[in-house]
Amino acid sequence: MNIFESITSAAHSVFANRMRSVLTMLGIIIGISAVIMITSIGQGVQNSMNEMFAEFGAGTLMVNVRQNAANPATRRDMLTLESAAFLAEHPDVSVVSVASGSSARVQLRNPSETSHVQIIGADENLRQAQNVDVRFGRFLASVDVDRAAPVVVIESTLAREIFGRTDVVGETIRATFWMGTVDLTVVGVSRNNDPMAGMFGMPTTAYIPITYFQRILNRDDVVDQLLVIAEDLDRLDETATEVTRLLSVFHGNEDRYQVTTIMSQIDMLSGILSTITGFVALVAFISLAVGGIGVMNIMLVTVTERTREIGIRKSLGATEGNIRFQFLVEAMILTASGGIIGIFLGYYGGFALGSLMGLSPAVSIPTVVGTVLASSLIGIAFGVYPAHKAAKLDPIVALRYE
Amino acid sequence: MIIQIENLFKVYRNGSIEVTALRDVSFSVGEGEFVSIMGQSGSGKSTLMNILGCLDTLSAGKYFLDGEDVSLIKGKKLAQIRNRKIGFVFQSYNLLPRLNALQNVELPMIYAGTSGKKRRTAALEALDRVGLTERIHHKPAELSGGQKQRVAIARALVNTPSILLADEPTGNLDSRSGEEIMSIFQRLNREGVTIVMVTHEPDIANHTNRIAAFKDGKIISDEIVENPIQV
Repeated sequence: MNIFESITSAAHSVFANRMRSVLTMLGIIIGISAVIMITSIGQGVQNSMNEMFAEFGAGTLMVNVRQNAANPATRRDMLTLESAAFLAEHPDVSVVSVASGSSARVQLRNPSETSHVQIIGADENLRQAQNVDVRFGRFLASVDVDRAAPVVVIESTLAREIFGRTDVVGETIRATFWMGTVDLTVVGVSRNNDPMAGMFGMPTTAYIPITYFQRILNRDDVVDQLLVIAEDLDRLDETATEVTRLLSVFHGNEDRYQVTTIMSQIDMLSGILSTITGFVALVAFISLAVGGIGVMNIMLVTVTERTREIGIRKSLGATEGNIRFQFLVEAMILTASGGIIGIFLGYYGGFALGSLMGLSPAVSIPTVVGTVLASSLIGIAFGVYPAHKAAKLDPIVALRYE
Repeated sequence: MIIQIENLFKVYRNGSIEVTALRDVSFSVGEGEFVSIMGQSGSGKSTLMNILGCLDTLSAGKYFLDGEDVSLIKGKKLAQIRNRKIGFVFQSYNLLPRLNALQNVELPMIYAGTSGKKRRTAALEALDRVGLTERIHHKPAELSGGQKQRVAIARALVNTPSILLADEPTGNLDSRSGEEIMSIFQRLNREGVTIVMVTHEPDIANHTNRIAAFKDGKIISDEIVENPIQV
């Protein structure tokens, strides 16, 4: 008996019990599509995250004040515009920018509606440190910082939300901070920094001069963070150490500043992300195994139902191997077709879900190949026992079976 | 000799109880013979049939099929012997319900590894031999009892076995269809097919050339039929 005949015969039998076959496949379909959907979404998130950080610049060091409740930072430890100016003198450092963050609500066209905006107080160097892509107008200039001008650079999503268009240079927006409300003149519109900005209530980002930021939020001359671009990318770690040392000297303290690189942040975030993706994929794999058990269950029923057929086939000269192969192929057809349907569902489901979330899912070939292999292996693994049971039937007993 | 068994014993073990189904049976069938085995149920005739058909193994003794000692053969080799040397005809036809008549007849050749084209030709030929040229694309459920049994005979013949074993082949048929089947057997036998048939009906047995009677696991008589009923 050749393989083609086994497959035809098995396909016949699967097709003869259509309803049952489809229900049996369902477990596999759900399992496979879930695995593919989750991993492709996970990969998509990872990709957009990498993209985002790549724009940010791999050579950028972020300097923060290290503090906790037991060891609070004093006024003297705080980073200021002076610390930034001091660092900028050093030859290892090419650009130093400052950044402070606060959130605000910006009034939309309908005055009763507001949008959540992440306000960054910055200087003109932030454009370079964060690779801000200005589409219309200009970024903050040193003159804005010097004068503490009430100007703002907003993202295109916010521009569209407020004005219904993106070229809005010269317009005024009204932002409410916890300290009060101010009117800001738009000098520039930038491309969204975060692809998910503006969705699911995620805030967009707007930049105002650090000096104006300090004034309206009563921050004196303190800044939250320094962004340092290293002169030499290959000496990033050395530069980080040097920056920490210089700041300690300047502020007269010890072990107060934490320097992180974008790379370390990417590593940390993708670590978290792969843990989450892996965990959810594990759950999906468990459902796949449950689907496999469903296949085994139905195959056992099939073997019992067809005991007489097995007896007849044996009396006509079928070997144990023939019978085993026949049922194994049948189990594999069930799981493989379930797997193929599952791949399609997972693939398109991933894209559907991805477009809802505003990111493009990445279906990796190894994942697809892996799941196809897994589904076939499940077919074999869970088909072996029923097939073995069928093969070992005593022909005399089987022929007498009613 | 096509079949030669010597001092055959078959003992079933049912828990701690031993049941001897066949005790010291010696029996042979020559080429071209048409033998019926008679006996009440429980006489051991079905057990003998299963052993002759290589579906069951013997407990002691020797069994030569076509000159080959098959007493100790097992597994794949035994399946091959069933496939090539034995043709089975059952009381309840035992056709596969999902396959049509032609496909049922082709089945033994699939296990023999015969190619598709050859199978089709041989199956049509075998069906022709049993007088079934119509309804060959119908499923068993759409055929009459007599037609089903003819398909089964065609299936038994298709690999040109050394022997045709028929277990109560007319048991499920009305007398007219039964006669038809017996006439097919007689014709096949005249064409040289060796046939061993189990029956409990003397009328049917009298269509054959020789009757071996079983009782309590032993042959109690083995006689030539002087004037077999010819259909």
